Amino acid sequence: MAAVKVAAPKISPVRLEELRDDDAPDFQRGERYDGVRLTRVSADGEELSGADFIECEFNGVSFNEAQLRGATFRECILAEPYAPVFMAARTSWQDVEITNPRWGSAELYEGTWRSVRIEGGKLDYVNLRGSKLMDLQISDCIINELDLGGCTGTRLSLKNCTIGTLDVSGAKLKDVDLRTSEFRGINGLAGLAGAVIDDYQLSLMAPLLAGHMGIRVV
Amino acid sequence: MEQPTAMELPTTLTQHINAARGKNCLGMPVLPKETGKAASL
Repeated sequence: MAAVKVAAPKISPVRLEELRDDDAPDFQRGERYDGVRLTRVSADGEELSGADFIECEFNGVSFNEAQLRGATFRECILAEPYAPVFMAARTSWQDVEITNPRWGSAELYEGTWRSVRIEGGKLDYVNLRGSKLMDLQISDCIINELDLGGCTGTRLSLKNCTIGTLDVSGAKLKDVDLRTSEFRGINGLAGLAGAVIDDYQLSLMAPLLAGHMGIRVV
Repeated sequence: MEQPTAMELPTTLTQHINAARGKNCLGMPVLPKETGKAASL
């Protein structure tokens, strides 16, 4: 088989300097937070719609049931972000590193992601429906349910991830590398066009693909 | 610490997940900063 070239995500390293520690941030809707380091702070239940986080570092910050709709994270580092209920629809993520996130129900639909790295962590349900994903790498992460329905994905890599159910219904994918990750089930098989899988994954998907194409295997 | 499996999720979280499943912004008002225009559907 000819070697297939897959364009890898282009991820810009995030370097933050001269951050200001803030132990008791005044969270406000639509506010701009610039150059702040938050450590073990609770933003639970806060109204943060439309907030801008620029060059910020979050260490073990809890966002449970915080309303982050329309917020922007640019040049940010989030280490061990925690939110059983993560409400972040239409958020914008650019040049962001997220390590060991623990999100239960993550509402991230219709967002924009560019140059983002997610490493480690455990996510129960991730709703990225209708999002624009460009240069996103997710590695060594356990995700029970990943919904990419209606997504536009370019240079997306899922590396060494364990995914329960992947939904790609209506997705438009290009250079999406699924090799080295495990999946228990896939919905919307037609949306997988543009993805790259390996021989082993193909053998596991064969019954699904046959069923999708109406091929009877007897 | 061992992370809970899907079967061990608290009931409230399962309810949140069910509510969030398949959800998108249809019917949600648009924030001015998202469009640069006044809020509209």
